[in-house]
Amino acid sequence: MLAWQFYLAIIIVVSDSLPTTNHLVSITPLRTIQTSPTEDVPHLVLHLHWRLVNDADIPARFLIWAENANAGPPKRKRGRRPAAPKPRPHPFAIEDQSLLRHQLQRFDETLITQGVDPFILKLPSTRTGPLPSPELPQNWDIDLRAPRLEPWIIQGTRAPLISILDILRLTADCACPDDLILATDLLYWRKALIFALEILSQQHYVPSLLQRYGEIEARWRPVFETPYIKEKLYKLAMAMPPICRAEVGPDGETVTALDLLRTFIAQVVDYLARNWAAEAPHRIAYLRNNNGVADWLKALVAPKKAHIQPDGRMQQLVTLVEDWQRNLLPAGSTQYTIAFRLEPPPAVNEKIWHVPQAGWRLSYFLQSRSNPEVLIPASQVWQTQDETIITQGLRFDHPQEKLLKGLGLAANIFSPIENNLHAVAPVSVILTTTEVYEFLREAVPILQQSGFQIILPPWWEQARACLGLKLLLSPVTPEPVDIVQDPAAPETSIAYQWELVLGDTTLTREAFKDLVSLRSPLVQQNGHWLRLDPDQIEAAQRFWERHSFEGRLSLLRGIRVALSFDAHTQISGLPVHKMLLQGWLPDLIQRLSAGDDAMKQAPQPPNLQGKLRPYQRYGAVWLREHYHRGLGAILADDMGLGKSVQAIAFLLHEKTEQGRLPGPTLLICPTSLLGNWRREVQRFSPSLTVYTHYGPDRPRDQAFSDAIIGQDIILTSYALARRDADFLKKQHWFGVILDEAQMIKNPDALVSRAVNQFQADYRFALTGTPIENRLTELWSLFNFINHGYLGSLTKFRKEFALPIENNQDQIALARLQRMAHPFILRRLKTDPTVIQDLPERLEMDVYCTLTDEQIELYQRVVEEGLPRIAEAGGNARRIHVFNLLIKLKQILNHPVQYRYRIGAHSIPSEILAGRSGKLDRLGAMLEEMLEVGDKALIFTQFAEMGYLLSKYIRDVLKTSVLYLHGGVPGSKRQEMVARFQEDPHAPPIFILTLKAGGLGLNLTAANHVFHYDRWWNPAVEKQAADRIFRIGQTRNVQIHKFITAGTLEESIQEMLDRKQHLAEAIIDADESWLASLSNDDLIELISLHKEKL
Amino acid sequence: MTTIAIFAATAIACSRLLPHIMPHRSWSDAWLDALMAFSHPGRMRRGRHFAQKNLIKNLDIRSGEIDANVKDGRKLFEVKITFPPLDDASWEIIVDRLASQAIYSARLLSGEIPPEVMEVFQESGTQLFPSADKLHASCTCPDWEVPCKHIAGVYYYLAEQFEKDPFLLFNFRGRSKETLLDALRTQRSASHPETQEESASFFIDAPLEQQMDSYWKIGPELSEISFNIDKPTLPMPHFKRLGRPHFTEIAIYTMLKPVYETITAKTISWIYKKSDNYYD
Repeated sequence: MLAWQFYLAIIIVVSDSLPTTNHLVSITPLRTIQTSPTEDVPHLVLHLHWRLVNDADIPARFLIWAENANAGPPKRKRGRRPAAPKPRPHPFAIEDQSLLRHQLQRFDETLITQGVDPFILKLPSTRTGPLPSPELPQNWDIDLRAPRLEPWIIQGTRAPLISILDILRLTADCACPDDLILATDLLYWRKALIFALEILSQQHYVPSLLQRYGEIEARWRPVFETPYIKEKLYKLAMAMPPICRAEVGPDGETVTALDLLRTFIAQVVDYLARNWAAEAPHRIAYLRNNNGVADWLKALVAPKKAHIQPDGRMQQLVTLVEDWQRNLLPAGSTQYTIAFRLEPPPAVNEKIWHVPQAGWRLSYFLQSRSNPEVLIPASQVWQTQDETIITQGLRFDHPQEKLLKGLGLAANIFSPIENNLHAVAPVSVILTTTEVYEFLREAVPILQQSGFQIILPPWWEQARACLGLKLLLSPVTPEPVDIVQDPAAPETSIAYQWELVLGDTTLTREAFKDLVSLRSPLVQQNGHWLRLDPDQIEAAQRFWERHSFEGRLSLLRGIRVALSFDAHTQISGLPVHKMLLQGWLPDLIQRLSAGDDAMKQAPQPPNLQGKLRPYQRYGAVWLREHYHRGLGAILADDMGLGKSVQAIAFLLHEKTEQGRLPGPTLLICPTSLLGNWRREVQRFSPSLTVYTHYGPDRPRDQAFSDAIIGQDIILTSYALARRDADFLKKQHWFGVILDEAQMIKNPDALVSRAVNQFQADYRFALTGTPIENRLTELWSLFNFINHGYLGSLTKFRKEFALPIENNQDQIALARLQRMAHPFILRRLKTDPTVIQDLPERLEMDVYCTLTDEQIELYQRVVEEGLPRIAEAGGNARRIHVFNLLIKLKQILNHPVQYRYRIGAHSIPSEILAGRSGKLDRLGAMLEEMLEVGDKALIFTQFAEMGYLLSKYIRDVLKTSVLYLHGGVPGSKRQEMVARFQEDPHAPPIFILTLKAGGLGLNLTAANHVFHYDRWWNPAVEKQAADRIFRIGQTRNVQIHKFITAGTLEESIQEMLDRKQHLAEAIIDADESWLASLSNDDLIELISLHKEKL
Repeated sequence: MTTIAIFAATAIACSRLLPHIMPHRSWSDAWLDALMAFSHPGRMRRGRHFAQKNLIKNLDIRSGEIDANVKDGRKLFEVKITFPPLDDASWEIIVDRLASQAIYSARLLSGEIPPEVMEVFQESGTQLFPSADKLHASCTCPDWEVPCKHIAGVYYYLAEQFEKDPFLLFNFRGRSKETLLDALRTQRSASHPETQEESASFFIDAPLEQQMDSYWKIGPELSEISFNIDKPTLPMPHFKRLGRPHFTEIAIYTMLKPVYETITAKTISWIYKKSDNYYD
């Protein structure tokens, strides 16, 4: 499970009536989500500290440490806090080195730790000691008042650098173990590592030789002076979390972010470079050792031997190397830079390609850094008598020297400048066309890296002023194909055609040959300059030889091609200059992505019970549109916006229109949702028939085929979809719908493979969290809905997942967003158009399914309890009824609540997940809710259940919670409420017992209320929910009432629904009315209704 | 002249890459030519192996004076060479002329002395290289002839050193690199110390005390950058900026090219390597 946040993820948000479509994809940090719980293991937050202090005896190195959530709450210190506290041992940093080592070995089995270095960190602290990092899941009673920085002693574990780099690297795309959470400092150093890798791969480092502490070292040195590297370095240093520079050195000083980052990168670059250099096929070892240079180079490629004997010749070499590398400093000054402007000869307006030979001019300028429009020509620099030129309020100090020095540097890079320097006051140089081409191709990039500004004619930057390809995509049919009318059509519906172009001209083979015979890298046509790069000419020749110029594509591949190409696309070495989408194709893509007017004003489906909100009507026709084109879709609306009703409306619409559905739809959802789905279908659309494929007696093979005849929807669980895949895949389904489709986020999981085998006319995925942790999850969803659309998994990782997650590659991100857009519909509650459609208060019954363990317990307790009630009378009967009801409620809440005595200090260490339908459902909903940054209140009437909930949320969801119950003293209650309301870092979940939290509190920070168990009195529940409706609530509020299907919870709910108008009259504030029911009514009420399970 | 020959060969090999290297008379050629003019060629040759085998120790070059020790078998001899430095007036003329062409200032300011500078000395009638009448060399060995093989060894060794760093020759003739550059600066404009540049002063960390709310947060600046782990569009860009180093005949660029290529390939494969531990 991934227990870390990565900072880029795509969440695709599409709102049906927003006018623009390109801003609809937003980037948000993702929370930690986990689904496979392992409990009762230590919860560690893993930290990585880059240790650099102002002390020559302490080498810069990484130290690993961890906060331990199982260390128990820190103790409160009473009395006056000392003004300057002495460093004390950190109370919940892990001390057991073997435990930490064990954790680390999960990344690298061969990892060895190398002992311990104690170090001191300044941490925000209060009377209860250092505040834990926000990642630490804990329910401690922590004093948050008056935080200040205090020094804490931490035992840092040393490990070899390669192991640490491996940990940083592996957290890039492999998930972290469940019980390990990565701290932001570690995540930050991961980004710094990526930056170091960029410097390595792009070769922005040079061999250096330095003398320090009397020793001489051969080091690979990153060239931070390169302008664009420098900019990234500064940005990254600014983003450094303060914790990274919280170490107090022996002199009491802290080190700056920039120094920390620079030393880190320098050490990583040198370390990796020398290790990899040792594997290179170089011949350095054979160098004759006749001077220091050979020793220097040998030390650079030795993994472990950077030090060189400091004799006289080495010392001299240090100075020489230093002098040689002086020119790494960028040209110009902090005020201005040196600029070169290339001016072409006058344009000749000739239609055929031709090559003017000369007349190019490269002129020299000083250019202000603060205002690049201020250019001072060299002539003015030479004429000035002063040491400073001041123009437009900008200073140019020592202009002549700087210009001369810059020209000297530039002459090294581009020789024609050198020839020109023999003049006393050079201002520009005249170049031939060949020289210009050499300048543009080879010198410009080096000059730019040296800090020069190059002002080029606009056509050079224009992507299309060179050879490239043009692609035409034209639909074969005059109207968009419809699989209902022509099931095979989408397979060959788009024709494609490639052309070779130069500028705006399409080239025939002959024209291309003529062009090549000009043998010039630059040609002119109609007054425009065009580039002919040799490698592109070569690529174009290959294009003539190999490419199939035309052919046909399926609609899906047509869309893929149309959306995956951008200005950066290269097809066998040639850029794609232009793509023409013809016929209905652009309209169709637009309609799939953002709808059209007809879709936006879709009417209410006539047979649907209940009224759809406008955005839901849109969602239903959006699904329909995809079905008709033979395309899959992901409906990814926020929780509570009614994804299921949109899917039902789609099915109902098809049924109404076609008379009957072409076949059954297989609807797969988590077991806990089976009951909910059945109820939703029956409620909204009684004319759709539903069959639930579930339970040990379910029909198989032929019996199954017989059983589903005439059924519109076959409901089953993911577990059974996997187990019964053998015969489920033999059916030809009308459609397959996955609800909570994040269940197939792991492409390798058996369930993902199973659902991909099912044959269907359409495939839809419903999920509130299309991506939880990683982009490969999106791939897995697409692999289901539109197989092949995002390429193979390996290709996807290379093209999208790693560039986006690791490198924050904006181009790859934009491409993926563009490609995903037509197939994902996601609306958030906060979208302005959705908000106006939503009621302020949205109440939802959440039907949950019993687990086998619960069924067994429930039946046993009912069988034992009922005879006793039947035999008893009067007060004794009353007591028996209550005992029975309480036992059943406990079982429905959680078997562990029923089986154990639970208190603040006696929470059983049982596994909680997978044993209670309600708890599993709650977990899934909380995850979804946390993902969008919402906050929630959870009400229960049982204090014991509150403890179990807080344990579950902490251990499984890795989220901190607040828990207010009867045992919490009054002052503490106010503190908890204030924290929840005001502290942005407060736990997002607040558990309250109905009695303790039902009254008087103001908890408007939450916008979800969960009633985990029911108080059979609507008034009490309403009062509780009102906590978040107080003045100050600005958002829509959702109230989720949990009901276990087929049990007394559902029976009572039905009764309440039937008697709503009488409710207040019949039902008292307590539940005593239940005891007055007749035996038959009671049996009816509490028995397990298996048909409803 | 093996060293020279190697140098010439590499210079040609690099000339496409480093366009500024021209087949010019080198500093070491000029120095040795000047000495050969008044020294016995046979005696000179006898000293060569001292330089080649690195037997010259403790070389000290000052204005008008050079000291060195030469190891001959188990014995160590002291060699002293004196040659009166150029007077201030001559230097003024030189600086004047150097300032008159942009290229000299440009080159010198970026830390190089192009061989063309020799011509400036010639044209202005000043003597950069030694002549028989003013050069005195002595050695503690019993050989009374000048140059003895040890002195000749030092001559050859100096040739190598001047080739690597011509400023040493200027040092010997009375102007250190710094004074020379200063003088050049004075000549072009009134003398002004260069402003302290590139100080990181605009980058100041906020005090930790003020950041307790965001103590564990990565700043928003991170989202403004993206990383590019890929092959460079321009291999070994900084070598192209620096040009070939003058202090060695080893072709550093060619030597390191396979190293850079391997490091880039390894970097890319390392980060894109799928981990074996897949936890879910």
